[in-house]
Amino acid sequence: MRGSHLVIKPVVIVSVCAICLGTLGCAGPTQTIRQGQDFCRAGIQYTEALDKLLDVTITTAIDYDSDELLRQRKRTDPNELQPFLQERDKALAELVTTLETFRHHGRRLRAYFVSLQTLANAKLQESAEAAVGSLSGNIAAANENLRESNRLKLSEEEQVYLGQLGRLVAKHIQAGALRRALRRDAAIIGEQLVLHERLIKKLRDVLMDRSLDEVDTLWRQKVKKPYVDTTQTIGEPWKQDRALWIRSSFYQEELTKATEAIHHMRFVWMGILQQEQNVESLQLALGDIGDFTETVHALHEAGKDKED
Amino acid sequence: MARTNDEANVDLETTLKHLRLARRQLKNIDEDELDALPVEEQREWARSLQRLSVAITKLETADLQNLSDEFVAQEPQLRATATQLDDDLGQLADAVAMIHVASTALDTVTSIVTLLA
Repeated sequence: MRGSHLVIKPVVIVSVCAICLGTLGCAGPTQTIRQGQDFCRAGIQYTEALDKLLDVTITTAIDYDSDELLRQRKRTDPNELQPFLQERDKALAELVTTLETFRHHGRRLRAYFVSLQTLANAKLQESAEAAVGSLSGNIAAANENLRESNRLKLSEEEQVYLGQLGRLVAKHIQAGALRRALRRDAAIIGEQLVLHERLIKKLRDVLMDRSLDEVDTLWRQKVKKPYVDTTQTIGEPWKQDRALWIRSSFYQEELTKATEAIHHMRFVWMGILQQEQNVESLQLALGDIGDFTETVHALHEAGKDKED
Repeated sequence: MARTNDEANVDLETTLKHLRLARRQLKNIDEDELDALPVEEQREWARSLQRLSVAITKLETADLQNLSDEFVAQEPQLRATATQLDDDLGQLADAVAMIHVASTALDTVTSIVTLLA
């Protein structure tokens, strides 16, 4: 059993490592891993923003409907009050139930990003360095014991070097796995992003409709009207109404946060996809989110104009 | 000719847009102006507001349900991708584990050889 065992030359180890590095792609592994981490962070950030946005949308839709019912109450035929209320209750409950389903869809997307994050953040490099260091130590010990003439004897320095090389190889393996996963999932996540973009647009439409109306009414009835009517004394209630009117612009801030998250995610995602073919349609479908932010700003500015 | 989903969505969005605008116009009538109207016209205003609001809420719900259905249709694929990622992570861990196994095996061989020497 002597002679043929454990004859490992340094050049063989280095060559194997070089082949691994060469075949795992040209893009820097650190860059790939960081790109994956950024993408995961953006994805998780987006799903959190979506959850808040759903909260705001549901609260706004309910409050708006209640305010409207209160306003029309005194002008409604008393015989119609109950049927009107029941009709509104049913329609609103269905809307809220439907909006709640999107929390589930958001959580499902979040689960993907969390798994991807686990892959991107895996501490493989330290483990690999320790394992390869241990392996090289054992190779040296085995050779020492076997007393082969053509044995490979590793010095301490060489063992440290091999450990570091192991870390480098592990980094490339991890980056390669991440890159393969991102490319493999490109179409599915791309479709998800398109659906989420459409969802955000619909939520924006609901919120815009309600908040535009609410903000207008609040300012006209509770802020401007009492202020210009010098025959009435105004004080703390008027200040509270005015503060409420200003605070209502926070809805738009929430919208902006959600938009920024998905906007950022789109850029990262497109960067990943640029190495793929046939992504033009996906890139087009992911476009135009920038308009969202501009519209929100326009609304905010419109609010300022009304104040003036 | 059958309409595509996109065409139906656009129609739905356009209809919603018109209905929302109509509601806003109806609600922009000042309270003082409404007070000045005969009771029957005030009730007609309330009925119009009721019809518009219910229609808007129902259309919004239908529109969102259509989108939710699309999410549901994609869910199995999304689940599968998350599972695959877990497998990928397992394979990475396996690579390190294999080096550990090789190292341990070598250690064992060394010990046996030492005993035999």
